[in-house]
Amino acid sequence: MKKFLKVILILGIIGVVAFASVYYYVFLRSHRKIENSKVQYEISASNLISEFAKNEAEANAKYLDKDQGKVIMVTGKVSAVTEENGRISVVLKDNSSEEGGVICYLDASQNEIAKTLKNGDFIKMKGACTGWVDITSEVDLVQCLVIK
Amino acid sequence: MRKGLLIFISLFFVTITLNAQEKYITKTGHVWFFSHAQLEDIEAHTLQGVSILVPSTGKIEAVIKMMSFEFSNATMQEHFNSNYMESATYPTAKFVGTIVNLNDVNFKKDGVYNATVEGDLTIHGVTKKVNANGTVETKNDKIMVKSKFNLKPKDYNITIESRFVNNIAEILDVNVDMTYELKK
Repeated sequence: MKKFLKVILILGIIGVVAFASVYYYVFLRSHRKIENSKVQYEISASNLISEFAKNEAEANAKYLDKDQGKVIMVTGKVSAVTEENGRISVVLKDNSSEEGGVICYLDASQNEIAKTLKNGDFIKMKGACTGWVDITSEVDLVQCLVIK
Repeated sequence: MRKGLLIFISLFFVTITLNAQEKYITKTGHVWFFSHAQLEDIEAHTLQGVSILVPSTGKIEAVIKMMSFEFSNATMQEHFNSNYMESATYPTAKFVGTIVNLNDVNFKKDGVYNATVEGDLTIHGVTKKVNANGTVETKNDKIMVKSKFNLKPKDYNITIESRFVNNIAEILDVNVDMTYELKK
């Protein structure tokens, strides 16, 4: 009798742990944190733009994972800093005369740092690449962290 | 005298043409969708809609990144991209169309105007002719476009497993709220 109860108890505990793990994974797990993620590619803004402009499908296969963008590091010169709806975006370009750019939508934690950026500053941005916007010749990077 | 007048008239028309082609743009357009189903309500927002509006022709182009849609639930966001939208292959939804009742919209006078937009919408690699009603508001040289319309994932070859029929709606409510500024 005692052994039977013991088995039930152990099974019960395993059941609860299994349930809690699944529940956590499906409902409570937080979204990926960029600061903890490994950089898959480091590239200049103009090279990133030309890779997408030349062959979007190939660039998508390189920079996008099935469910989210790959974490990459982009280097370039600040060409514009805009704030809208409380969110800041920074445009990186290597030649200010070229069309388009890499738009870095900043993580909320970067708002104070963003205010110190000036046009012409040479910086690095770490973020998730979400792909190409053809109508503006821009590559988007989201959840960006400023790595000066 | 005649030569001067000719030059003046030419320059005048050139200026008119240049102004007529002016573009208004947003890169922080708000697009969101709701799914109301028996077991679950799902909602996702993006504040990274990119769109260009040309007042003189009423042309509107918009590009929305699938991976920019934010869900409160991380697993749901991953499934949306990997299982349903296949975002690595089709990272964007694109709309190219025009305001069909352009004459009813006076971009030069601040106000709110009812508008109908018609065009091609491409999602998940499938292009469909769509139309939607909404409002165009001009204020302080900004143009606000708001619209609400329905979308059927099935129309765009987005397959939702039958076991989720009570979790994900067959028709989604889509909302658009974009504020355009003059493109410099």
